[in-house]
Formats: sequence, C-alpha cells, structure tokens
Amino acid sequence: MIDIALPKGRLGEKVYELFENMGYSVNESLKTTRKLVLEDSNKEVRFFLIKPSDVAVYVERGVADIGIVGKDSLIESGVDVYELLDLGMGKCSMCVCSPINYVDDGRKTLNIATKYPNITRDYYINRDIDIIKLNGSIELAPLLGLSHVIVDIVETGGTLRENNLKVDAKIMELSARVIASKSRYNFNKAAIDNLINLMDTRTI
Amino acid sequence: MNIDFLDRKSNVSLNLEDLYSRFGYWKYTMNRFESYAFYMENENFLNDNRVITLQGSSGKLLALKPDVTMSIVKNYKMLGKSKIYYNEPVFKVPQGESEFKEIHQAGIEYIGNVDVYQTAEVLNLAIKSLQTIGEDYRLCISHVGIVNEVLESLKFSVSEKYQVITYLQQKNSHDLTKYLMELGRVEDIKIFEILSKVDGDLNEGINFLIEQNMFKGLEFLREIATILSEITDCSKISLDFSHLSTTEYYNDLVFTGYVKGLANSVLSGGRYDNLLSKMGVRDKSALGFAVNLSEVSKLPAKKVSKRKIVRYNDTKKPLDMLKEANIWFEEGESFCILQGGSQ
Repeated sequence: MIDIALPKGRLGEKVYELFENMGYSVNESLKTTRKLVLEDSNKEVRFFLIKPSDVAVYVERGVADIGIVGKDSLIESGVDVYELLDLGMGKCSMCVCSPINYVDDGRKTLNIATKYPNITRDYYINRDIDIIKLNGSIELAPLLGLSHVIVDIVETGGTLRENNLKVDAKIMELSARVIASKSRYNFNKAAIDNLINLMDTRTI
Repeated sequence: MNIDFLDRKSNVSLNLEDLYSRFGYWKYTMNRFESYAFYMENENFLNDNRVITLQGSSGKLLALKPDVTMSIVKNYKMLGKSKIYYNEPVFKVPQGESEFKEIHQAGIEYIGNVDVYQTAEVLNLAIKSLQTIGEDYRLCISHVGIVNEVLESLKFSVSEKYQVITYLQQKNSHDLTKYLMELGRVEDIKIFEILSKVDGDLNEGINFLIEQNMFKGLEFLREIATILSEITDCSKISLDFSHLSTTEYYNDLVFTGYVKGLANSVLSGGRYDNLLSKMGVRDKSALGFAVNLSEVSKLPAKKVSKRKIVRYNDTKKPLDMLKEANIWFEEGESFCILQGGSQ
C-alpha cells in the first residue's frame, strides 16, 4: 500500500486526474466528496486530502509515503524530504512586485508583504528588510502603503495589471513536485519507484 | 536478568551497552560542561553551531554537551583506547526545529588504523544496533569521498558544491540537471546521473560504479560488501548517494539507519579523518556511529509481561509474606504485594 498526500483544491484535482488516466480509481469525485481518506484497494493506493501547505509536513513526519506539493510550499516549509519528480503542473513564478511608479533606490529598509517569509529572507540575505507576514490578498499591501513591495506567486500577471503593479524581479520558477518521506521510501522503494516512473511517462 | 520491565528506550539503551561492551569497546563518560572556545574553533564540524552556553566561575564560557564524538577525539590521547562507546544526552537544535532539545545518544568510535576488519566490525555493530531497535530496518551506505573527489576534479566553487550536494541529498535530479545547465556544465550532467542511478542493492551498486571506471576507492568498499553479504541480510542494506553531509565532519564512507515506524533516521555514522586531523591526530583514522535513542522512544511500547498481584490481610504474618516474596523473587517472578482482600 502506498499512502499519497494530495493537496485539496485545483492542483489536487489535476493530479488525481493524472492518477485516473493511469487507471487508478476511488469511485468518488474529489470535487464533491467530504471524505479525507480515499482508497483504491485494487491498486493498493490510499489518498489523503490535505491542506496544500500541510502536505510537506505529513510526508516529512512519515504519515504518507509520497505527496504532491507546490515548490513554493516545499521551500518555504524547509522540510527534509526527497524530491523525486517535477510534475510540470501549476507552473508559475515567485516574484518581487511593486506599484508601477515605485522605484527601489536600495538606500532604506525595504518593507515587504508576503506569505513566504523564509523565501523572502533568503532572497534578501544581504539587505535590511522588514517582512510583513500576510495570509492573503498580498497585492493590496503596497496599494494601501502597508509595504513597498510584495513577494508572491505570479501566474498570468492579470491580478498585477488590474491593480497597477509590476514585476521587479523573478526569484524562482515554480511547479508541482512529487516528494517522498526519507524513511518510508527506504521500506517501500520498489512500489514508489514504479509509481514515479509511471507518473513521469504520463507528464512528459 | 530479565529487563522486559524497562520502557523501550531504556531496554534498547541497556542492550546496546551490552553489545558494544562485549565487542571490546570502553565506556566514555563526557563532562557536562566543556570549553565553548573548543566547539567554536571547530564549528565547521557541527551540523548546527548553536550551543547552550553558561559562564564558569573563572569567567570562561562553557558549552553544555553539544557533541560527544568531538569530546572523545579531544580526549583521545588521554583515554589511550582505540575502541570507545558512550551513552549520553546531548543538547542541540534538531534539524528543522527552532528550540534546543535533549537528545539521548548511544554510539561507538574506533580511532586507529581503519582497515577492512575494523570497518566491517563497525558496520556489523550498526546492523546489530538497528536489529536491537526493530525487526524491519534499512542501512543506507554512501561515500562522501567519492562525491567530493568528483566535485573537486570538476572545480566547483564552495557554494556550487553545497548546491549540488543538496540536490543529491534530495534525490532531486530534475533541478540538479537544470542547475548544471544554467552553469553551462552540460558535459558534467552524466557523472551525477550515474551517482543518482546508484540507489539500491549494495553489491550491484558497487559493481555498476566499478564498470564506469570513473571513481576511486571502490575496491575497499567491495571487500566490505562481500563480508556483509556473508554475515547479514543484504536486502536490508543499500548503496545510495543521497546520504551525504554538507559539513566537513565526514570524508569517506558514511551510513544512515532507519527502522520501520520511525519518520527520522535512527542511526548515522561514518569515517571522520578530517576531524581527527584538525585536532592534531594525524597518524590515525576514525570511524563511528551514533544511535538516536530519543527517536526509539517514539516507537510503540512492547507488551510488558504481567506481574501477579498478591493481597494480604491481618491473618498473614508480615515475616511469612516477606519470605514468600523473596522466594518468588529468587524464582524470577514479578509481583506486587498490596494490603487488603483475601490472598
């Protein structure tokens, strides 16, 4: 049996579609079910539906063999896990953005609003910064003067344009990754490797 | 003596002391406080340089037990023993956590001429230690020396080395390939693909690497693997280059042990000639490992054999009751004598 931590929401549904295409089925719709644990006993796979930012923790703590997680959550959480596959889904970028007229002269403390304080701290390692940790609607912060810039995920750039914001720098490219528990991988290696190879061929 | 009454951690701890002692290792007891300056001079050998300090009566800063191996190496000449074991708490911030924790460790160190026998003996004791903790275990063997030699020969900078090792530790070959391409090192991708491919059977892995004719030090590893194949179940041992260290601590063979049911590794060790050399012991080499007993306590408790409950009343003379108790004790029974009720 392989235990898989799936993120609730759009990414989890897309990944589950991939599993369905590979012949896996739990006879339930992920969009409507209220169950948190779903099983395909024929294929010996169990899916746990977990809040996206918690997936990495479930895998690191050895509750699940593997998990699907955005690279942003993976880096921000700093978990000690294997990163076995880039699924190439949910592609986007982690960027520094600011109002169209804002110019950072680099001479004063930079106020940064973000959901990702660890990624921000690493990026500005040699700069005097003040991180304002927010949980949503990050784009609002510089518009209301709460911060000079934001560090956030940019997909199409539509939200930025509608709010008169621009991208100042791209920190990293992001996509969904398959991660594995370091301990459980060693006890379930053959089954996990088979599944990863199958997923790899389907995502090319 | 039956030690089934002990909790799992204490039981394993006692069995490990018995194992190491019977294989000829001498017990080392570490001072609670040691010079802080010593640990700061050698901070490159610590996984995390945060140390609990306090001021001694002379004004000097003292460190509270950050690392047992460094203490043993520092005192090696005075100890005059090549085989040493310990069973000690250390105080450090575990990886991924933000607070100091007391971590109970038991382990062994061999300091001398690390030949084939001594290496095989240490690995044999590592396997026996894992068997003491749980029936289903895995020992992952790796080699820092092989990877470092590749990185040196390809002239990677310090920060590039760190990044490559991090990707290898994560088995993250997709980002490693991308990183090497960004560095313009397309021709170097193959050698890391070979190292990443080695991830399984110990003997097959070594033979595969020998066939590539690109790496040194494999004959020694093959001798060790041949011995291990004769004495233990090699399906539980793998060669896997994700088990590397970014510190200067290890320089050659390294190994990590897992027990089913525990999310973190429970045993880690390897050869640490660099540390020995830094501390002035240049004519010797060293090999050892530590078992994290604090992890062992996370395993479910084993069922303890029931002790019989005996009740006495006024009709029973205390002397007779105690005599009976002593007889049960001599017979190896467990019991608890309480007041009240009929016998």
